[in-house]
Amino acid sequence: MSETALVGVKDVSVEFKIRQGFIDEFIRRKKKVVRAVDNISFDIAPGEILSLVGESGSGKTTTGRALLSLVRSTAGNVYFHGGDIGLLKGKQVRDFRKKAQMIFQDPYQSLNPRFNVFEIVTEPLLFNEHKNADRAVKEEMAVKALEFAGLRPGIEYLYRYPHELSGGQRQRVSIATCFIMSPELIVADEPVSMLDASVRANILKLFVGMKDEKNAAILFITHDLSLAWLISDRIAIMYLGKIVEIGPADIIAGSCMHPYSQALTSVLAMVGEERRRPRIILKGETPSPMNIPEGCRFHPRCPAVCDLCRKEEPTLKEVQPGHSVMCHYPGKM
Amino acid sequence: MPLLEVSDLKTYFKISRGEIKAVDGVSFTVDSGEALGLVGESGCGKTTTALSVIKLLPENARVAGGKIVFNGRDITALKDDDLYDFRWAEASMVFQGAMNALNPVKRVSDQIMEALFLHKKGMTKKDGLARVKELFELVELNPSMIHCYPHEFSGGMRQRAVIAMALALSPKLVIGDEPTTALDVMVQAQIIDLINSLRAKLGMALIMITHDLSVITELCDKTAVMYAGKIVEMGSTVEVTTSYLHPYTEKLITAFPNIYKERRMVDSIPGDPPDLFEPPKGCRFAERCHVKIGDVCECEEPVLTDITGKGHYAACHKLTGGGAYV
Repeated sequence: MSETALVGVKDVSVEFKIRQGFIDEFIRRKKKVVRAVDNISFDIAPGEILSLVGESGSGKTTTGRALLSLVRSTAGNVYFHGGDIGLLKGKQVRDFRKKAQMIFQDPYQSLNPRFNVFEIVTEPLLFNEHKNADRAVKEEMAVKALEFAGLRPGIEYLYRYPHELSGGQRQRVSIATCFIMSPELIVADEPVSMLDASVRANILKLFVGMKDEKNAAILFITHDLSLAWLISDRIAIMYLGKIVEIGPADIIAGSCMHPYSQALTSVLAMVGEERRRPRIILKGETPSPMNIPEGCRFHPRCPAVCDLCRKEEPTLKEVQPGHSVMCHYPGKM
Repeated sequence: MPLLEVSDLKTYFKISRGEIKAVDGVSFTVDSGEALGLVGESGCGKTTTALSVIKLLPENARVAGGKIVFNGRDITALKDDDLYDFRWAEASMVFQGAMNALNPVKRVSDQIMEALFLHKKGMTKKDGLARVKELFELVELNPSMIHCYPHEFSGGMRQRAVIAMALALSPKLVIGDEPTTALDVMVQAQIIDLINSLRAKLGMALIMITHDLSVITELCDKTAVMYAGKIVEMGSTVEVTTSYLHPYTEKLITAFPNIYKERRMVDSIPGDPPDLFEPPKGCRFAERCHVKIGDVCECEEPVLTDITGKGHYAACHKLTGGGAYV
C-alpha cells in the first residue's frame, strides 16, 4: 500500500460456503467453497476514482463489500488510513462506517418506501454528533445534501416519498444520504445501470464532484467499460475473482494488454462511429467460480493460449509504472 | 409493398383518471428482410408500439386509431380467433428477460413444441423434436440439451433458446424487445452476432426495441427515435447516428461515451418527459429543448418531415422553419 493511499486492499480473498443437501451433510462430505474474490490487492488515494469492471460473477461487488467490511474476508487485510479494519472493535467500527459509505444499484429497492426523503436522508445522522440536533438543523443539513445531489430546491423534496420520485431522483436521494455523512470513502455499486442514458450523465458528475470537491476516494463498480473510462482515474478489470489488469483509464481503454481486457474493449460499439478494431468475441461464458480452471483461469477462453498458460497461473506483473497485467504473454494478441 | 406498414398508430392505456396516450400517431414501414431499430428511453412507447403490432397489448390498452397492415392484410381489428395464422407464424417476439419468458417447470423442448403443435395440426412428436433439434443447431445450442429445464441453461443460452422459440415457425418478422439488455457484454456480443447471422441465413425482417444505441448500430438498417409516444427522427441508422437532426437525438447520442474521442462529460437533458395523460399541445420535447426557436415550439406540433429529401425524417420546427428563427 502506497503512503498516499486512503484505503488499501492487500491479498484479500473472500470465500462463500455452499449450502449442501441433507445427504452430503449426513455423510459429512467436505463443504464446497466458492472463492468469489481471490487474492487481490489494490489501493485508492483520496480524490481518486478507481473503477472495477467485470462481468456478472467476477467478484466486483464482493470486493466492494469486503472493502467496507460488509462481508468478512477469509484472507488478507483491508487498510483504512493505515489501520487494519479487520481489527476494529465496537465504536471504532461505527466510526469507520461513518467515513465509508455505499451506494447501491437499484434505487427502487434501496430506499425504504415508508420513509419520506427527510427521514431517509437524515437517518445516518442518528449515528453521529448530530444525533440530538434540532429538527431545523437536520432539515437544513438535508436540504444542503439534496441540493448537492442536484435536487433543487431541496426543501421541495423533503417530504416526498420514494414512490413520488423518478429513478434518477431516487438515486440522487441515495447519493444525498451518502453525502450527508461527508464520507472519505464511497463504494458505488453500479449506481447508474438502472437509469436512462440521458439522466446518467448528471449522476456521474456528482461522483466526479465528490471526488474533486470533497476529496473522497471512490470505488466505482460497473460492467460498462466505457462509463468506467469516462469517470475514473484508474480501471481494474476483474475476471473470476482476480484482477487481471489494472492501470490508468486511458491505457486500459486504449491499449490494454490482457487478452480478456482486449476482448472487452474490442466489442464496445461506439454510436455513430466505424469500428476501429476487429471484434474479438470470446467463446462460451465465464466458468463457474466453483470450478476455476487450472493454470491461468482465462486460458480455456483465451484466443492466444499457450502451453505455459494451461500449467501455471500467472501473477500480476507491472508492465510499465502504474499498469499491471496478469498474463504470461501480455500484449501478445 | 412493405411487409409491415404502420400508419398513425395510437395506443392508449386506461387508468383510473383517464387515458394515457402511450403511443400517439406513430407511422413507419418495414420491408421484408429489413431491420428497424426503435430507440428511446423508458416510457417513450417503444414497447407499446411493438405490442400493438403483434397484438399482445394488456387488457387496459386499446388501439385508439391508425392502421397496421401486415403482408397486405389489415390486422388492426383482428380478434384473437383470427390471429392464429398471424401471431407467431408470421410475426413473433423475443422478450427481454429470458428467464421470465421461459416456463421454469417445463422442459425447453416441450415449450418450443407447444408453439409448433398449436400451429401445425397433425405434427407428430417425432417431427416436433426434430424441428427443435434443428432450431437448437440454428441458434448454436447443443442439440443434446433440448430436454433440459431452463435453470440448467446459463443466461446467454436461455436467450438463445428464446430466440429459437421465436423462429420455430419461420416467421417473416421477429420483434426483439431489449433481447440483449440483461446480458453480460461478451454474451451480448455473441447474441448480436447470432441475430446478424440468422438474418443473413433466414432473411426475416426485424424490429429491434432498445434503449441502447450501440445495439442498433450493430443490428439495424433503419432507426426510429421515439420520444413521449411519437417518432421524432427516422432514417438510415448511419444517418441518424452520424448526422442526427433532432435535438433529442443529439442529446441521446452524445450521452453515450465514445472511447475514441476526448473524455468529456455531457449534460443530462434537464427535466422529465411530459405526462402522457395530458401531453403538451406543441412539440413534446419543447420544455427540455436546448434549441427551441420560440412560441411555435410550444403551440404547434411539428410534423415528421423528410428533411434531406432522401428519407431522413425529423419532427422539429427549427428544421422546417416553422417560425421566426432567433
